[in-house]
Amino acid sequence: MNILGISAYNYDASAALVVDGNVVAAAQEERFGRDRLYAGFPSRAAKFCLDHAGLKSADLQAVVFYDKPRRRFDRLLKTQLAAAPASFVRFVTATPGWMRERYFFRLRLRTQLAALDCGDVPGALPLLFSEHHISHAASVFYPSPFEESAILTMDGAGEWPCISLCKGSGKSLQILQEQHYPHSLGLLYSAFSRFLGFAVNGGEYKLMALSAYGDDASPFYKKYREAIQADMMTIRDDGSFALNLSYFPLRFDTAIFSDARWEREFGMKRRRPDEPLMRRHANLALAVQRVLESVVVRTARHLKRLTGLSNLCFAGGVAMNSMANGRLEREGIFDQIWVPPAPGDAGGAPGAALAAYHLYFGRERLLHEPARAKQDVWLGPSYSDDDVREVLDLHGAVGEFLEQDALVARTAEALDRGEMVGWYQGGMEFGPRALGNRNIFADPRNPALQRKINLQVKFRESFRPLSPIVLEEEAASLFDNGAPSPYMSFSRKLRDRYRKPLPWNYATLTIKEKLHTDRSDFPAITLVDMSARVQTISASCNPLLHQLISAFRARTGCPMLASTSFNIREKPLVNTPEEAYRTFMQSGLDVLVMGSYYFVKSQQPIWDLVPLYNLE
Amino acid sequence: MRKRKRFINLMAVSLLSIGLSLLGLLFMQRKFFYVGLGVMLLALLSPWFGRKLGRPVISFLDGLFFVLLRLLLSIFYALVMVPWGLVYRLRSAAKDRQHRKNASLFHNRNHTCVPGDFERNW
Repeated sequence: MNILGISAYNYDASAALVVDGNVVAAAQEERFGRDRLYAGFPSRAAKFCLDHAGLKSADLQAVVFYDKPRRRFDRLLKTQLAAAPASFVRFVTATPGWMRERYFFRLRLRTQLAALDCGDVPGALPLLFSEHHISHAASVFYPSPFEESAILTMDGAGEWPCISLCKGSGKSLQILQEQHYPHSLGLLYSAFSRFLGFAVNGGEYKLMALSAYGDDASPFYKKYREAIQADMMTIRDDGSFALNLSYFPLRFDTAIFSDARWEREFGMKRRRPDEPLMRRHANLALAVQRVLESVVVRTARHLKRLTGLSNLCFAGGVAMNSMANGRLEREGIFDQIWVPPAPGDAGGAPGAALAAYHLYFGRERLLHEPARAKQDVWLGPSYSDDDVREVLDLHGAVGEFLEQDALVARTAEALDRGEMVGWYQGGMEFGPRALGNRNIFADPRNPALQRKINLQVKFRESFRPLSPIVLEEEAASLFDNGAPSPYMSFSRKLRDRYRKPLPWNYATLTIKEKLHTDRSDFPAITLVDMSARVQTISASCNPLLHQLISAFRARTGCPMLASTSFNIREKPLVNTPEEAYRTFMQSGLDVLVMGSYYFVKSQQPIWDLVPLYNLE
Repeated sequence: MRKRKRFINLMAVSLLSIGLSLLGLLFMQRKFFYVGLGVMLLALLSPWFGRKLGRPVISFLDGLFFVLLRLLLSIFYALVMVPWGLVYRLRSAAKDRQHRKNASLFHNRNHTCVPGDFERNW
């Protein structure tokens, strides 16, 4: 049975193909069109999925969309109603678009599917619609190794729900409670992201990274937190909350917060994207991060009471917040927590397809072994050594073909020398993070590398962290929790023995000074609060990468690498060998390992290219 | 693609000639009818002419549609949305008070997913 799942028209459009209950292909449209977080229809991703499995649309049993467009239209309309007459301008300007996008949706979807080059869409092909939060719940529960689990989904907004508390058992899914729009944790966080000069739907992870530079002993942090918890929202013990809508003009304006009101409340101007980051910005980021964590923890406790289960599946955009996930893990409310590699809207595509397979067609669920479940991430396009060879020929590139052992040994040697390595292997990752096949690696012990990678390779803010990618068997010796974290979902604290004493005035240092303080034996991956967003790798799930880190450990004694995604600022992860080679040549990378080929920058032909950015 | 564009241009020109013919009928002016017919014939015979005339007609119709739609929406908003909105707000306020009493702001749903859920897009 073949089912195509589609997530579109919100942000990060994607497609996924489920064959007999297994996700065999999935990709985000942004990777093909190079338009980050693309929000249209994922034509090329859908075509990739079908081509990957050798199918035509006539071979599909159903196409499933990841939300209910008319219910979303209903929400938009009622939101306008609730704000009438203040919503006049928004209603008149936005309604035609909503009608086109949401109301006549079946026709639109059929037209888009027919436009794929994979053949005509049979008239009898069922178009199904899964609820937004059911798609999220299915995307995390069905691939998880749990027979039975509590499921928590939190995001900006689905149709109406912004938070859903569910229970999964076998193939069945039950929605227990919901919190409805506009009282949304995702929107709250996005509003602060915008206020602090970062983008909505894409800048939230910067806000999270910035929060690590805040000081929770500062009176300003306490004032900000009090303002958020007491004035801007009401939080109940069970985690449910209500936003004070006078601060969030969502219903009658396209802005998600009121500039003047917020500036008065926090005693600071809204930060423009090009303005420098100050301590007050970090303190505000920390305050909202702590509020988010507090809501997540309270809701999880409530869900535990409701279900009595010991496992938790967590999805939705909020589940991308690895610091909140880490806090949830440390609280020990649930024995095991499972977060998928694509918890956001992109994950809705496989989720919708899996939900239809089990709930609409009633097919039984095959429980995945944990090791098998961990592999459901490299679901995108993969390219052979012949494809790499073509790039070599096209650009006159100089690459050396090496056997696997030699390739690994040379790469480990380069890393030990302090070089920055682009690593391009196998299938592309599905989801926002690079998880071992499209990465940039560096030596985590080298104090200069975080800054160097941020400024010379990724061309982004220097405070942005690198993440450790660590051998699964060594994780417990390095971090406070050694449980597997295959999708980089949890933030964990570095063990004390690797930390260095901090200066007495550390809390009062500026962001830049904190960044340059020598904090641990692994400065490239340690955030200023001694945490790191950990990814664990086992030999069974990615043998080549496991071999590389093992070789690096054999040379240096260090069982991990500093890792970040293989892309540059505001661009999606590289997809083709051509993109990988271009990125290698246009950035400050020293070495590129692509398939079995090893490229050294100094040996490449000179490219007459202006550097992409200059942040120095 | 080109065929489709030509078809759209012809449709626009047809609308123009029908409009002219109607004007002719309304004001009993035969020359409007002949001009409309001539324009239509020229557009059929010469794709260049169809394109030249079709584009401005399409732009004009787009603009007219844009204005009329917003005008209609404004009337709809004033006559339907505002009074309905007031009732809706009163009802919501009553619900909110109930929520405040119950402490939790979660909505109980207790729904187990069934196949029928997937067939509706609402």
